[in-house]
Amino acid sequence: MTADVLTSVAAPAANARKRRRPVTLVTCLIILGLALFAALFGHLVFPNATQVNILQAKLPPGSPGHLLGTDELGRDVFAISVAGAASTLVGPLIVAGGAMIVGTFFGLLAGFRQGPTDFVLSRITDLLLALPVILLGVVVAGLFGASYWWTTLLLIVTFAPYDIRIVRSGVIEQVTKPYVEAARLLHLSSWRIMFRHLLVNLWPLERTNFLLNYANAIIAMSALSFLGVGVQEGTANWGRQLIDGEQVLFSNPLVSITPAVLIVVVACAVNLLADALNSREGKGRGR
Amino acid sequence: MSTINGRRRLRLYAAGAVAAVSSLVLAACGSSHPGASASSSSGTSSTSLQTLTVAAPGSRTNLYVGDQEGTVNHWIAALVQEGLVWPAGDGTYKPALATSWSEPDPTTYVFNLRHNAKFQNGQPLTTADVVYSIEFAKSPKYSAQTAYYLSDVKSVAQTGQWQVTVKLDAPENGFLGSLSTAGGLWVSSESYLKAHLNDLGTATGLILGTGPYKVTKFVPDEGVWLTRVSTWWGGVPKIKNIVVTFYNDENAEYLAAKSGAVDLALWVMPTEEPQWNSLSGFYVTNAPEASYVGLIFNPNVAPFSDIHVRQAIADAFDRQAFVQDALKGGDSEVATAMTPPVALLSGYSTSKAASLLSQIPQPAYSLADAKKELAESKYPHGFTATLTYPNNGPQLGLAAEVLASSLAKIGIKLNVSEVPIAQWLGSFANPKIGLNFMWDQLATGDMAEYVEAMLGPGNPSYYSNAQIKSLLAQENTQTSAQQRANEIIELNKLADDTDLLDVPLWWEPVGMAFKDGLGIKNYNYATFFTPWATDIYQKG
Amino acid sequence: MTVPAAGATSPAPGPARARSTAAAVARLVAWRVAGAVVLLAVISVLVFLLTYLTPGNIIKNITGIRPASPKLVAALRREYGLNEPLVTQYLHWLGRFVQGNFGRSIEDQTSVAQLFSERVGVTLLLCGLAFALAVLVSVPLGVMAAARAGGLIDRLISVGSVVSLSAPAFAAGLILLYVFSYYLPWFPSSGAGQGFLDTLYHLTLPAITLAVGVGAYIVRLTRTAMVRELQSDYVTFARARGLRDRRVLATALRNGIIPVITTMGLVLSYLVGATILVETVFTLPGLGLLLQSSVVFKDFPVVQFLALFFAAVIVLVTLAVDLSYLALDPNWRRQLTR
Repeated sequence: MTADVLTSVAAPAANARKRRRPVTLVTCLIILGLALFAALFGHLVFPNATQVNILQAKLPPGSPGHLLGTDELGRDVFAISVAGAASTLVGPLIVAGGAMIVGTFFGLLAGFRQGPTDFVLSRITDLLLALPVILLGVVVAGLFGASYWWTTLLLIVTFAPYDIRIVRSGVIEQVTKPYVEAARLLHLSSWRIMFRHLLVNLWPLERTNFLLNYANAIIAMSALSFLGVGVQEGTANWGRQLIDGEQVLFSNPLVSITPAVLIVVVACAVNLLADALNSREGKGRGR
Repeated sequence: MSTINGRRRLRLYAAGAVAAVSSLVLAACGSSHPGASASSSSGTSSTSLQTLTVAAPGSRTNLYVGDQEGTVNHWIAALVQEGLVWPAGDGTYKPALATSWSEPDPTTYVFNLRHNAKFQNGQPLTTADVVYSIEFAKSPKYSAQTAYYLSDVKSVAQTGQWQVTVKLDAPENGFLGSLSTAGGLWVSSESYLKAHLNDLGTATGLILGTGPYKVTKFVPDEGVWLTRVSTWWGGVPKIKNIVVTFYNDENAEYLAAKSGAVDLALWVMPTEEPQWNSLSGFYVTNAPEASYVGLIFNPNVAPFSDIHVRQAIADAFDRQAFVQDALKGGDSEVATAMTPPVALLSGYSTSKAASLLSQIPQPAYSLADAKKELAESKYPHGFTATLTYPNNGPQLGLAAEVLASSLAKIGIKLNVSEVPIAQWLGSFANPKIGLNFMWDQLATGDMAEYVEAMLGPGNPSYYSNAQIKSLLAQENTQTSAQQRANEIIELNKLADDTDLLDVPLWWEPVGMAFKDGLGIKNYNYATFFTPWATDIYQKG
Repeated sequence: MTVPAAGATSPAPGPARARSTAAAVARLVAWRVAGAVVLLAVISVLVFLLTYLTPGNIIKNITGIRPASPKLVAALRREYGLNEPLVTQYLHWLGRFVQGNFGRSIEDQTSVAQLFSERVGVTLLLCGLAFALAVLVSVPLGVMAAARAGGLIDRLISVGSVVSLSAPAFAAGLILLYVFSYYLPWFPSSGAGQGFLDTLYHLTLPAITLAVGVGAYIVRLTRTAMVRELQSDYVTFARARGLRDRRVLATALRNGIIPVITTMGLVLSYLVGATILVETVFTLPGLGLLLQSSVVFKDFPVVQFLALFFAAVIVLVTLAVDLSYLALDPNWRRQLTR
């Protein structure tokens, strides 16, 4: 028993060498494939998903023609969920991606250059962390209305300081390692060290953070809508459906539960897929 | 302790935690529940009226209504403070701190005060207190949000040991209502008001009145605790303590009720009524037509300056279907005007009033007509517009979405957006907004309550004309109640049809959800603007 | 315990090193204090401008839905100094602020300091509790997931953390209310209670709601850091030398701690500003509801004060995290004192 555990703690890759059917990998790929299909073709499959049909409001699950029932505006829950995939999945991708790019660039600079560069960048990061999101949200709503893309930009600004700090901490951890000193001794340019050498070692951290931000951003796109910014009522969007469903929580709970489950399933699929791919990569290197 | 056991324990613990959380999440989604709802955390059992736990929607941070006006703020203050009169709910007024009154001429009111009224701290009410309170309520500095009600008051004076005379600038038929807590007067002691000029209504300043309950604690954004007093001229109330908790989330409120922590839920929205009715142990009682929802235009703002555009919008909303399907189970009705029949009670019976109001030309739902109207307007190809609604009125959001979906079919793109209630209220001050919702509740019960607000000076349509002005002047001085009702119906007609400043959508009731063992006497729209806790009784 | 990195230079041993470390720390703190002052000044200007840009009209917010006479509007504008240029208004506020006069809330007509002191206790207690719960549960889960990477436990923990992350605060709050306040009537459904222990009792469900929302970051980032550490050579060497499992894990954690501590600091920074949704669901009189209503009302004395308070908290947390890098990573310490 002890021997087994020893080897598993010390070398997880060794464990993975045992023949394991790629159940997780395949399941994740299927889920993500379906999500992608819904995002690309949802509006073709269900062109009338957002059609308001007040006569059929709040029908319970299992009603004829509506397996999951209808919401407060009479729209079929299944149809609007499929149609909502695109809005749900695209914006957050840009939010998480944008935050990652900003975070990587400034985090590397701050952690590697240190000194005054770090000081100034870190204080700017502190400033962004301290600005109340509600205030920013209300101002954005007032100036630009409930625009999807302005909300995306607002969220990038909100998420970025966290990414900067995390990347910076990763750099601080790495920068004292021998390979960095070696690179310096070889007179490699800072940019090369940062983006060729450090970044590669930061990649696991970045990937984990990106995926978590992605899941987070899906909800965040609709979370501030009560202030007038973000995805507004009635839009086909899982985060939005989750919030709108509050109104009918006790008449047709599936209006909220369906998008919640979908968000969770997609977010888990993405995270587990990344883990599975990573451990397969690890197999090859055989430490 | 070997490392193997340690790790296995750790593993089991973690697996158990994860499994427990997942299963609880799944279980929580199931709607069945074990039936036995344990005693509430507030310690109320349904057979005792020791403590009445009340759930109030939304939050408040100041108890003095002059500083923070809101329908629920009025209701809470009505337990503690009184005005000179109360609305009776049929257009007439009952004595509160004034036992009788007379109107020697149209601009003069003489009130005879109660001799035995006392404040909750034991201090007796004096006429000087009443005079000071009226000045205080009229002051834009100290009662910024409600000074409007007393803006026509020219002078207030003590004219006898227990007599106060109020003189107005101009006759105002509904003025008595302004001197109630449904309007703009909350009588307090002069010394108390002077001592709390800087913190009246806050957690330290509280409020002092002559009513049956005193405030023992106020935590802004959390709740208010009240205890009965023996100083009220109306007697000692049966309910000893009242705890009002503020709920910002309607589902949290519902869950609290399900677990027995709530005896009375105030102002259940029409869209929530079905679920409260189906909650075992609760029932909803309604004051019909107490709340009005409609669209309001500012005809100075393009494209709403074009009457064809306004007509197109009016024709595009299927009011019947909306009330029947979106508001089903909620006792709402299509509004034939702004002023509901129940407000005209002093002039006509409800059924007569309803029939008269329905004779106002009504917009009929027809997308074909709407399209035709738009084609005749200056904007035949449509346009884009915005409509906002407050975040505490989900039924308005639903209506907005339905309207947007109809208008899309005739080429008008309507962007709907939810905003915080303070922002929505503030939007009425913006003269550049051409289309908005109007959502108002009957309070004083004066016939002209809505038409004064929507058509009088400073109205949210930023509009007036000679006809409206003259009719308003007439109804303000009209002595015959029936004639006055006719004039008000005429004003509604001008607003809804001739000048098309408003599109009445529906009248909804103000519903209160009570625990099964409790009842309330004579519930109407005015009840909660009086000391309503004294009307609550235990059912035998 | 770390394996010395090959080629690391060692400056003067013993007391000399300790002195230069202390000097480095002192320099760091001094610079940070200076930076904090500048930061707070910049924030106060930015927040002032943003409050000005907020849609709405504070005069209308004061007078409410009823029409207001021009005389009243003029009087209010005079009273709140709204006729002066923005810069002057800001400087007046600044002048009073630095003298300790934090102003009065326009909405509530109470002193800002009083409003703040009424609510800060609940908020800080809530955040502290949520933070403690998040850290105490998430770090071990992350370690466990890494120790059994690729296995079922790892997957379950990953799924569990993504589930908790994906649920917006109000959903998690409602679920917890349903289960622990209604189904199992163990906890109260609203309010903050009276007295320290009662308040802790009332804050339990809200704290769990908050912790559940942020725990995922700590779990997953700890796992990532640990997986990498466990793949390192020194772990294999340590194993080969017969070190016990628990020691190995503890050492790996210690070495990979920097991103974990950073995440913990970020979680704490986030929590302080994110209590609004939980306060809404559980009816807690905290700073979140105060900030929201002040922002919407354009009540700038309150907004300014709260923004500066949150900024000060961020500055302190960031400083604590950066100091912890020095405390926990000797290589970093060496670099800084070189």
